[in-house]
Amino acid sequence: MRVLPTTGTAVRGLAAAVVIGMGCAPAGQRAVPVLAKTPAAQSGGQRARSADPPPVVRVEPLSGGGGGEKAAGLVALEQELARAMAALGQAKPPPYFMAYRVNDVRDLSIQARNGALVSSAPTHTRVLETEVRVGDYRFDSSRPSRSVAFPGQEAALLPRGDDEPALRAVAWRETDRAYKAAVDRYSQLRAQRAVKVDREDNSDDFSRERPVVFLESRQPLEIDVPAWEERVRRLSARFRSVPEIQFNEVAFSATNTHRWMVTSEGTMLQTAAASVKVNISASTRADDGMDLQRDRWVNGAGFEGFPGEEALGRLVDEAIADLRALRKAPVAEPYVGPAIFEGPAAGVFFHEAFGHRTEGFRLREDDEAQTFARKMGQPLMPAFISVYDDPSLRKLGDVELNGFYRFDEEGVPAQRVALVDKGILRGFLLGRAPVRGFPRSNGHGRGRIGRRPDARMANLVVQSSEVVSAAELRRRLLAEVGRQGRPYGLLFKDIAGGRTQTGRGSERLKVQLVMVYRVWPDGRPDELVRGADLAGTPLTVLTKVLAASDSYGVFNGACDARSGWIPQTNISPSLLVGEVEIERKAKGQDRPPVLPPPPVAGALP
Amino acid sequence: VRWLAGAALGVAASLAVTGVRADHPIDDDAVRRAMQDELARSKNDLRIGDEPRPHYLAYTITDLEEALSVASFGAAQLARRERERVVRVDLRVGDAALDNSNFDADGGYSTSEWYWKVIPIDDDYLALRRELWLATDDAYRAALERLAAKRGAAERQAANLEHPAPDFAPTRAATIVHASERTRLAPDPADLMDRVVKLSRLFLSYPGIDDSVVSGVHDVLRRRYLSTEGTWIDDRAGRAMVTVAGRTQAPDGMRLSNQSLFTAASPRDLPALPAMETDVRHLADTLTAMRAAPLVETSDAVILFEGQAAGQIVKRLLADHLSGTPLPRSSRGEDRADGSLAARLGQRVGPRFLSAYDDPREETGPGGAFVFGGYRADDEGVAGQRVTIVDKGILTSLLIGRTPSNELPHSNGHGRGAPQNATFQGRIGNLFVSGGGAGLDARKLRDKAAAVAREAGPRTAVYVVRLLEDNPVVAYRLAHGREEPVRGLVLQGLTPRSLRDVVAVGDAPFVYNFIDAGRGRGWQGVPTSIVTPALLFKDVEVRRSREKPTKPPLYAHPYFSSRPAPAP
Repeated sequence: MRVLPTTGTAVRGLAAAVVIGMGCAPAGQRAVPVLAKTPAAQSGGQRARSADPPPVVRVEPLSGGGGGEKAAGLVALEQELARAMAALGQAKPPPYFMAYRVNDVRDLSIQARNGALVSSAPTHTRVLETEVRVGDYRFDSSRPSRSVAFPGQEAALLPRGDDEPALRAVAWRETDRAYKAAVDRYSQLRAQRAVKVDREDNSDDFSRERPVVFLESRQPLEIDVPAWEERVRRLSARFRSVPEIQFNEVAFSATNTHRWMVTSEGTMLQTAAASVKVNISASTRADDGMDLQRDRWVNGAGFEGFPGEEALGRLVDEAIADLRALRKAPVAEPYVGPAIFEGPAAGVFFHEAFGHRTEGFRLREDDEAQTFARKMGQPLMPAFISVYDDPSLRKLGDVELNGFYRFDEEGVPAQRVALVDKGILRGFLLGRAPVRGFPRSNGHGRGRIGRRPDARMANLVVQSSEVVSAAELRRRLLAEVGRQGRPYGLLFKDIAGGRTQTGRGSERLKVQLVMVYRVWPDGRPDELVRGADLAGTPLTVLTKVLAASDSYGVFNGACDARSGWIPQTNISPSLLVGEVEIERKAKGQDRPPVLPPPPVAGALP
Repeated sequence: VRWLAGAALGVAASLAVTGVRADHPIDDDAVRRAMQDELARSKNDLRIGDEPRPHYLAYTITDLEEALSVASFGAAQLARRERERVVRVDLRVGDAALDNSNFDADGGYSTSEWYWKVIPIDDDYLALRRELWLATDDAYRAALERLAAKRGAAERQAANLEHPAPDFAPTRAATIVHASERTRLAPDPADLMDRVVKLSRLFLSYPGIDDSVVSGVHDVLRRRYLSTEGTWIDDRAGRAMVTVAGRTQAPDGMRLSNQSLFTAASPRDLPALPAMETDVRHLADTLTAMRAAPLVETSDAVILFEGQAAGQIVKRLLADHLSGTPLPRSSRGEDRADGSLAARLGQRVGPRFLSAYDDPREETGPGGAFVFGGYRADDEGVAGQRVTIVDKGILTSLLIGRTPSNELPHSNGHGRGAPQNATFQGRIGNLFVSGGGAGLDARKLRDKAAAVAREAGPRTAVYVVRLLEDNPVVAYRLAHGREEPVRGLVLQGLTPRSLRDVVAVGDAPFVYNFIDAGRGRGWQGVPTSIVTPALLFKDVEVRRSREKPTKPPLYAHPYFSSRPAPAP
């Protein structure tokens, strides 16, 4: 697990190690749990060829609601912002933009191992992020520069209630600090501009956007704490009688976030969002020392429609069964040849190979390879594939999508962005940092609390205008195996996550596969293998998609990049790819535990 | 119990009952039995091929409960309650002469010498045994690797080593079971929140103070320790702390701060609210006055460290250097300075009237004040002992645990490390400093200071320091019998040798309780206490701070600007 720096300055310092690399995975215990479920999978089989978009529920950002009452605390911050703009308007240089962003987060997380509670702790924090810009939209204190560091941008604790003097005192202190830092950075940037050559991309530093006002009312999230503690204990107790699984954990978390945003441009937002997650994580060490891990997860936007204990128990049992099978499975061999990515795996594959390269800042900043900057309007993948990102998708079938939001962290309404249309690159993900040819945000400025937002993915959707049934996709895989003269094809049923690098001179891709099967032409049953990692050069792999299935899979996950871990979803049909490259996962040296597990006298049935 | 998003404090309270519901009967013996059974099995059966079995194995299971309450400017900011259980495994292979301990494989300070992890808080025998099983297995492999690396390093460096001390000192097995009534309280942020909010509200009357925060912490720890030598410890410790901090800037931009610390065995033992309020008002008045205080001049000075600053200077010049634990043997074999006073045993470290001892057996200091550093057994299961450290100015002993040195072959019950910290080191518990009968009252101390300064020359300044960080935070210049606040005082060149420049001590000891983060070893502190009277130093070089000032706030505070200025 990587430890991520929390300040802008530290991020700059670690650019080589962290900024360029991205991971998109549950990634160990600390990451946000995620969902893997294929709602349309059960209906797979012989559906008619169709180019229908997935059955989604879309929420227009400004629709249904906005009739909430403005919280007293938000009023206090609005007044303080106006006072600050007026007071600092006399200073030189004056701020031209100011924003307060507040996240009020109530969180409960419960973890258990082997049927025993490890922790159960509620937290409630309300934090303020203050943004102050000096200069103008064209050139301001936020311009990226390799030689001028960003000041640290820790979020400040706010009072949890609506106490006006206390709220305004914190906002005042933070504004004064942020303004001074902006002035300092702006003067350094101006001095630097006098001696440096012009940038390749001469876009403005900050886009002009129409202000929005939207006030949602508070949404309570009721949680029966003891009942959930018991449920998590019981779920994890299923591991008690499984001696060969050394680590196991069942984690429940529920988060209720109320967000306020007020800007000097007139934007005023008060929104509410809840999430509920269960993450099941287990690992074992095979006899040859290879560590094997299986994570299953479910999330929702509340308890309505959230799986019950029986369904969650099945996920635990499946994780146990998968690990037992993986322990006995043969080790994957290095392989080049055709493979089927089932929906969730295909989604993550597109996320890594393609999605990250459409993030606006990667097209503009000097550290980046800017892979797609000159490919606009050019073909990147087969003409039957289209890709878009749409944060306003709330559900696919009955699955809540992790990437849903009404407004991004910069207060811009979510918009659907066509990234690839019929194989041709047509668009980028944009926050308020414009890119050449794209002067406006499309509502993708995202980041975790305490980070400057960047353009990021929300709900990435891969679509195919030509689809075949799952059976036909498999038939084509075997045909491709025969055509290429390979002994077998591969089937990627599940994936743990991936990483990609977009930095200058270091473009690479790695996807951690979990459930990988050999598909034999002679009709033998599919054979599970372990220890396979997908590697390769991102742009080449994209061109090799041969066919897509008629059912969509969802990978609800969390994605990490410069602006931190954020909830995110990838949706794709199953894909047949003509050529993939498999590496054997590095194997640990350690053997399984010396002593057998303690006797399971107390094991539950 | 339902959790409504509007009532976080209610949730915290509801969690308090989770361990005692009918369907989870308390098996108070589950932890001990799990430790005992897994320890016995590991001692007998844990072995890889021809590699040695453990020659020693100890488990420490610590239950930590903490309540945190934070407020600022009259409003609550945080109320958090945490409960965690961690296990530390001390597993040794080899023998007492040479084992895997105290070896630095990486060239830097190692914190992964032993093994620790978070384990379930439920008293569930099977789940706990599983955790112990895997933790022991990991610790065993790591120990074998370290021992091999250490032996390799020892062979390469054989020529340089003169009679190395053994790695592990013997001790007697002991059984210590102890819990006072105070340490059975369940921490609850609600206990301190009201007080914390009220104290923070006082700052609404101080327009000269830009920022302030008040935090309250209540910790309760239960420790269970079992070793293959037969030592069993089950004890508890608890403490409460309220910290009040104010920050502001002088008109020239210099940053100023002041802090008050209240400590007790539990929230109910803290001073009454009015007494705390008086103290906080004094803090705020002092900080306000410091904004207008003059800057110091570079000179030689006579300095009186009083109150908390006396404890802080004793920490810096004495307590931080009292470890008798030898430095880890390094894989590279280079010589490193450890800052310990080991080379000065039997030599003068202070004036003839100065004495110091450490006694972890004390639970209270002067006036019945609670001291943080009390324990019956140290973190290696050895009973705490009183150790005379300085006797009439001569350094007589150091503090040591079970990693012996040639000078100190036995533990004196000072092997300490935080529950999550994997290395034990000789550290103070309760360090008591005194001037014997030579202590002077506050008035006489000041007279003495003035006299010493006169002797040193007419331009020699006298400063009284009441709060230290790296440099004095709260300081006064003493002139013509009056104390005036000063700013920007920086102390130069103070080292443990400077203790010999102590020319007088006070007669009223101050209890300074703190969590000692240690000196680079380990990242979790241990609770300690320094009890010392005021100390008067001659001949200290001081200069004016060169810290780059930042601009004061560019516009007025929202609260104070909307109200009439208070009377001067």
